[in-house]
Amino acid sequence: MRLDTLSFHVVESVMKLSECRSGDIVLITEIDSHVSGTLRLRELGVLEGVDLKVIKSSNPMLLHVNESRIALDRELAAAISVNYMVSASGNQTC
Amino acid sequence: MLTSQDLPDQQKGTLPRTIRVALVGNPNTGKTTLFNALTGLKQKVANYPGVTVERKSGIFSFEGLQIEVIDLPGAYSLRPTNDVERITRDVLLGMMGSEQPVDVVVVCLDAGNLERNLYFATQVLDLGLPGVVALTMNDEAASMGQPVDPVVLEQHLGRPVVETVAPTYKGITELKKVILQAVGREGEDLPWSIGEKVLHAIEHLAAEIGKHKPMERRILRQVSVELLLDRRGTNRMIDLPGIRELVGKLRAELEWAGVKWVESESIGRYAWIKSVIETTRVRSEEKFKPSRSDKVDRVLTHPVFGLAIFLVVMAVVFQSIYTWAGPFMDMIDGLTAASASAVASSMPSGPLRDLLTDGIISGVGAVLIFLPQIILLFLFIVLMEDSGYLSRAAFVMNRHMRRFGLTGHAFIPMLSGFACAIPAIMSTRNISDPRTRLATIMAVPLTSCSARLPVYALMIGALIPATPLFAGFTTQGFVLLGAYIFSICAALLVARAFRMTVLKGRQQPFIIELPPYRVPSWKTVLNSVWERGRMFVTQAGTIILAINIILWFIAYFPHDNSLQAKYDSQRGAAQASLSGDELELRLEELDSLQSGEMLRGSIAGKLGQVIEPVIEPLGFDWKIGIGLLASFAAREVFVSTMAIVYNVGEADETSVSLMDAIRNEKHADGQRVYSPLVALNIIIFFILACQCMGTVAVVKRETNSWKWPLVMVGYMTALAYVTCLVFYQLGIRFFPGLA
Ligand SMILES: Nc1nc2c(ncn2[C@@H]2O[C@H](COP(=O)(O)OP(=O)(O)OP(=O)(O)O)[C@@H](O)[C@H]2O)c(=O)[nH]1
Ligand SMILES: [Mg+2]
Repeated sequence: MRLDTLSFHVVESVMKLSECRSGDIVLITEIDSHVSGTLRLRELGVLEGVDLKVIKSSNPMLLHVNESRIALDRELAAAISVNYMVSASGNQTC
Repeated sequence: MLTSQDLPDQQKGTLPRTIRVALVGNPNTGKTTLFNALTGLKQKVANYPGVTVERKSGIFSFEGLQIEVIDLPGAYSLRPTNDVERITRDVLLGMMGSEQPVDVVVVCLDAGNLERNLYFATQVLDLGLPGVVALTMNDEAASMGQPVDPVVLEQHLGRPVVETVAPTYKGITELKKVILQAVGREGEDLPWSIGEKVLHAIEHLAAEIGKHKPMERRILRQVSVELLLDRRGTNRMIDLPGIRELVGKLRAELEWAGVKWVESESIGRYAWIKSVIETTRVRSEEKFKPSRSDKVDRVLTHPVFGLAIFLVVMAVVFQSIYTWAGPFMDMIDGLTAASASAVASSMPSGPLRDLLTDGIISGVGAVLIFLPQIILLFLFIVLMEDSGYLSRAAFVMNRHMRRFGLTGHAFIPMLSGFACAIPAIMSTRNISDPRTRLATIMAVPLTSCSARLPVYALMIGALIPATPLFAGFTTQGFVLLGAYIFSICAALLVARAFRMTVLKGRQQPFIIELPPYRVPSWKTVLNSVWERGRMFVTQAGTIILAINIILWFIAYFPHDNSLQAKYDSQRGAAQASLSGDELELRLEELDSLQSGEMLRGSIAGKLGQVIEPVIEPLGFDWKIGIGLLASFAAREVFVSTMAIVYNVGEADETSVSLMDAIRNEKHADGQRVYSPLVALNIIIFFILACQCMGTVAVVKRETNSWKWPLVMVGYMTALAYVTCLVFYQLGIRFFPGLA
C-alpha cells in the first residue's frame, strides 16, 4: 500500500456494513450495542475484530462470517462499523 | 466393553436408576438425528434451524442401564431470545419446576461451524454438569477440506469428544459408552475470562441471589450472568427481593468504570474460541472461498429470480399433484367401486347393506382417493425442508413479509401450514417478538392445510375443465395454485390487519442463518411421507369412518317406506305407458326424485334446510349445507358427506362416482346446483373458515388464554361468510357464464 492512500484509508474506516457492496471483505471495528439485535449478532460471532465477506448487499444482506451464512436486515447492518480489507473492485487496502 | 459391573464402585453407587441425558446445541446441528439414532424414535428432522420446538424424550437401554434422552430445541445462546431457546435454558438451569436436573449433557457441535457452535457449547459446559461433546457433520467438514480434530478439541474442552455421523449411525455406540462413563464426573471450568470487574459484579450478584434461592454454585453464576448482562432478559429471578435494584446498581458501577459489560461475554468467549480453533481445524482452502451452496444461492436468493423460481416451483408442484396422482386415484376409485358392488351383490338389500355400501365404503373411499395427492404434497414439502431451500424462501420473502408487519421468520410457519396448521402454529415459537408471533398465529390457520386439499381436488376435478394452457400446465393446476396463493395472500392481509390494530408494535430485526444445501436423505423423506400417509389413512379409518356412520344414519332415518311404495307405483305407470329411451329417462328421473325426497325428510336433510336461508346467498343449497355442517368435525368429512348425501336412497345397486354426481346434481327447477362459480366459492369458503378443533386447541395452548382462539374463530367465520357472499353475488352479476 502506498503512503498517500493512507488518508483515504482513514476516511474509509467509518464505513457502515450496510454501505458495503457484494464481494467486499471487511473487518468489524465497532458495533453499536444500543441497537436491538446486535447482542444476538455478537452471539453468532459477528463482533469486533472479526472479518467477514458480504455475499449479497441486497436487503436483507447475506454475510459469510466464519463458516456461517447469516442474513440480516440492512437497518441492523447500519449499526456495524467496518474497515475494508478487500473491496469488491479488487484493490487491497490493508 | 464397559458394563455397569466394570465401573469403579464409588461411581456405581452414584448411578441413578434411569440416567437422564439432555441433547443440546445450536439449531440444525443434528441433535434430533442423533436422538433418533440413539432411541430408535422418529422425531422430525429437517435442514433448517428451528425444527424442534418442544422437549421430547425417549429411552434406550445400554449395558443393562436405562437411559432417558431429552431432545431439546436448538439455541444460539443460553441467554434466550425466543420461546424455544427459553425451553432449553429452563431445562439446563433446572428451572422446569419439579423436574430433576439432568445427569449428563451431550453438546452437539457442528464441525462445519465450529466457532459459532463453541459459543453456546462453552456456556453449557460452564454449568459444570457432566458433559460429553458429540462432534457432528465432520463428514461434511472433511469433504469441504477442513475437518476438525476431535482429539485436540477434547484437550481444549476437557470433556470427551465423540465424532458422530448419526444418519449412518457412525459413533453411536461409542457415544453411548462415553455418556455412561461421564455420569457423576463434573467438568472443570474452561479457561476463558470475562474481565475482572464484570466477574466481581457477577459474584456479588450470585451471592445475593444465593441467599434467596440456594442453587448449585455454577448454575447460580450462569443465572447471574444472564441477569446482569442480558438486557433482553426474561429470567424471573430478577423479581427476587432486591435483585432488580442490585442489577441496576452493578450495571451503573460498571458503566461508570468504563467497562463494556454488554459486550463482555461475547468478547471473552470468542477470544478463547479463536485460540481453540487455530489448533483444532485444518484449513486447506482459502478463507471465504464460495462454497457450492453459495453458487446456488446466487440465483435462489436473488430478489427477482429467487421469487420467480419460488413461484415456478409452486406451479410445478400443484400441476404435478394433478398429473401424477391421476392414475393412482383412478386405481383407488376402481377399488372402492368394486368393493361396494361386491358387498351389494353378496348381501340382501336393506338398511345394513345401504350402510355398508353408501355410508362406509363410498364415504371412506371418497376421502381415501385423495391419498396420492396428499403424498405428493408432502413429498414436495419435505424436499423443500430437507434440502435447505426453506430458509432461502424465508430470506427472499422477508422484504415482502415486512410490508405485512411480519418478518421472513413468519414465512416458515406459513409454508409449513400447507401441511398442517398445528405444527405450523407451534413453530411460531421461533419468532422472538410476541406481537409478531401472535399475528402469525392468527394468520397461519388461513394457509391451505392438507385437509383442504381433498375438497379443492373434488371441486376442481368435477367442475374445472382440464384445458391445457402451456408446457403441460392445465387450468386445473392453475386453479389449485391459485387457491394456495389466495390463502397466503389472505393470511398476509390478516396479519397486517392485526399488526395495524391490536398487535401494533415496532418491527424486530431479522436475523436468519442459511444452512448449506444438503441432498435430502431418503430415510427422512420416506419417513416423513410415510408418517403423513399413515396419519391420513388412520384418520379416514377412524374419525371419518365414525362420522360417516353417524351421518349415514341421520341421512337415512327416519326412513319413510311409504315413499318407496309411492315411487314404485309411479315406476309401474311409466313402464306401462313408455318405452325405450323415454322410459330410461323417466326411470332415472324418478330415482333421483325419490332419493331427494328421502334425504329431505331425514334428520340431516332437515338440518341442511335449517341453514339453507343463511347459505343460499352464497350459492349453496341445503345438501351442500349438510356437507358444510359436517366439515366442522374435520374438513375432509365434507367430501365423504357429499358422497353419502348423493348416494343415500339411491335405488340402484351401483353408487355413482362422486364427481359425476356433483356434475349432474340439479335443483328442483332443473337448474344445475354446481357451476364453476359455486365450486370456486366452496374453495374460498374452505380456505377462510375455521373448521379445525385441533387448531383452536393449539392456539389456546400456545397463547395460554381463551381470548385468542375465540378471536380467531370469530374473525375467520366472519371473513369466510362475507367474502363468499360478495364473491358469489358479484360473480352472478358480472360473470353469468360461470354461474
Ligand atoms: N452430513 C451430515 N448431515 C447430518 C448429520 N447429522 C444430521 N445431519 C443432517 O442435518 C440436518 C439437521 O438435522 P436435525 O437433526 O434436524 O438438526 P437439529 O439439531 O435437531 O435441528 P433443530 O431441531 O432445528 O435445532 C438434517 O438435514 C440431517 O439429515 C451428520 O452427522 N452429517
Ligand atoms: Mg431438532
